[in-house]
Amino acid sequence: MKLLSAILVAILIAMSTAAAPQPVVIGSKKFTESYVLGEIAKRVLEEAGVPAEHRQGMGGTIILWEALTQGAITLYPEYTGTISEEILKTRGPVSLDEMRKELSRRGIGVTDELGFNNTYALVMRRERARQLGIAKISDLRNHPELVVGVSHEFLQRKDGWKPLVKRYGLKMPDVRGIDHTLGYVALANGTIDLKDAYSTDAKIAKNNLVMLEDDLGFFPQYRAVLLYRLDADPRVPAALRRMEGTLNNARMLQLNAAAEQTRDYSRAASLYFHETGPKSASLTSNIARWTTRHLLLVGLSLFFSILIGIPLGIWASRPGFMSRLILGITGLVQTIPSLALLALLVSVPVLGISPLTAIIALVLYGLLPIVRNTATGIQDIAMPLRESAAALGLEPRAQLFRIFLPMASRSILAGIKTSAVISVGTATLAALIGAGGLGEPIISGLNLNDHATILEGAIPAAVLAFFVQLSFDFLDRLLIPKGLQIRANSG
Amino acid sequence: MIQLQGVSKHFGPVVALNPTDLIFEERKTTVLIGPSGCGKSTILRLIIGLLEPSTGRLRFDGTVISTETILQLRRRMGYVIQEGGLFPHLTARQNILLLPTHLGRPREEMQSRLNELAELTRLPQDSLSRYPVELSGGQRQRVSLIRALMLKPEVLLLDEPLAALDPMVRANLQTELRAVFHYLNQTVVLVTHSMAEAAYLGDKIVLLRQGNIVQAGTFADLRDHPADGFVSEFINAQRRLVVS
Repeated sequence: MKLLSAILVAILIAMSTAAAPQPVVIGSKKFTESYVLGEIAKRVLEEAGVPAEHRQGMGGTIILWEALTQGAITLYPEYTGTISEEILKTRGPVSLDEMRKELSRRGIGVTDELGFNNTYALVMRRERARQLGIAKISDLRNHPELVVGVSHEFLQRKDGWKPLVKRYGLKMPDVRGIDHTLGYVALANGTIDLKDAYSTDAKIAKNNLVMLEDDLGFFPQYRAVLLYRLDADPRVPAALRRMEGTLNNARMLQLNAAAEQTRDYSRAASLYFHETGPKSASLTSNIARWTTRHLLLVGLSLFFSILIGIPLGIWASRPGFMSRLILGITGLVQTIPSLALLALLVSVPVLGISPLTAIIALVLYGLLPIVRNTATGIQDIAMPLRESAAALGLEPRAQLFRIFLPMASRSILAGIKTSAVISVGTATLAALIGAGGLGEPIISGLNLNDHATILEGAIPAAVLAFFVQLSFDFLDRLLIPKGLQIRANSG
Repeated sequence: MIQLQGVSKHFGPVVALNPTDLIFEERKTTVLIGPSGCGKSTILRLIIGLLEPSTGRLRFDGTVISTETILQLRRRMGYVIQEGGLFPHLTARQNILLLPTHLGRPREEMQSRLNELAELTRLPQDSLSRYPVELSGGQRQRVSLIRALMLKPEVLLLDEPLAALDPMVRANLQTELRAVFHYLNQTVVLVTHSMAEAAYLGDKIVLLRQGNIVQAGTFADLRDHPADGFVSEFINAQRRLVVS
């Protein structure tokens, strides 16, 4: 086991250094504006001679904040309202200086405001709002029949849906949680009437939506700032300071719109520097990079699934309590939704946001098919053959390695194949916690509601799954003993 | 050579063998015979240690058969079952050499032993490189027999070795078995349900019924001095079968 953990550590070090040759890592939340700010910060740092990597769309506030405090990332864009409400959990409004004092106690620095205020807003289709005569949030009191679909984060926030309803005295029974980007689609096709939005969101103008006036002043100010680690290279805060006060609402709206139109964040970020921008890396080189990363994730996790799964399967092949326990637990892991499993693992302090977390989740997910197929493969060996192995005078270990495992090889390989194919699919979720792979374009595409970008990840993932399947069919022929592949020629 | 003292076996409430005393003599072929469920296979499986006795003890060449001693004792016995028990992922040769290789026996010596036994059982050389599915039933049993004899076991245990074969092959192999027993001149325990086979191959016949020994002796003893009606009935039933 010592050797194993040494190998694991070595591989992970290799992975993390491969991913970040220099330690400055920029994180961003899973929406356009955050991506764009992340790209701008990257350019600003690079111009100051600090190489930086941008991990796009790692998730929501909690994930980014954890990643920052744990040191997985060096900085990320955040909003003052979120800092006070969600991170510091203060009562009532606080000044930026007070925040700075409080944050520095946790080893985190904050820049001055970048300029714009991206507060929350409630939006409706312009036509529908006019029809019902709704202009401000308090008008909603007379329309409890409206269907509300808000993002999951907004549903839970201290400055989110529930306190808003209380403050305005709304009675709207039909509220559902829906992905922020998909919510715009639902709004457009009339599935929902009302959703939350960010006031600089380019989709508001694009989809002909109207922002309802916050007539009771419920929403706090969401002024954009950058959070960074105080132990970062001193050139980092110096460079970031150059971004302070440079982005007003109109400018940010313009950059967001450009990003959504061109589907290219770094080009949108270039607009900030008054350029048309360099063309970003070619599609093929991107796909090659994502695929390599994806294969690394799948390969490593499969390796450990096999290493753990086969011995567990052998153990589970012997009838009794342990067998039921092992099969029960591995089966249970499979029933946890993969997203929930990732979220659970991210909350484990030593793991947090890292490729290790993604690999552990994939290893756990890949166990069941291998354990189950190893166990049944061995159990299916006919009694007379088991007895022959014993009666011959082979000790149990030799029976296992010379007879049982080779005879169960077809079943075991089938389990490994299933595990590998599942893993290729599940590994796309690894991008959610910044582990990269083909999930990266899928998640950004989902976020942009852009099918082309989604397909840039989805097609290679499907092709990959197909090739994994093919190569295992080939391995079958190579690894399954020849005697088990011959069908009896005649009766 | 092998001695049973008050050995019984039951599976829960089901009795497979009532307390039994029995001695298998050295260099003799003893046949266990009787109708299905009489306990004949149970005795064989107790000797090779696939079952543990509920009461009593078994000795092999003076050593008590137990979980501690069984591994070493099994290597001094050869065991052949009805379907051969050959491992499908290994060729005939690999099946035969599995244990000798595992125990690190000299390759040259094993090769000449294999040739000797192949000749004795009239197994064609080219079938040695085939997998069990590619062999005929008779060839499978020959390979299984060779595998059992490789390490010159002191005792050969055969559990209905011919039962699954068609009559022609069966008759041939029966003749060969007798030649092999004569040639090797070793202790043999054979389980069968065919009285003709028992009479042909056995020095001593042990007739069982419902977990009890009914009579033990030569075929002539059983035929001329049956212990009870069941013995003559068992002999005659099979004879009638042959005549009709």
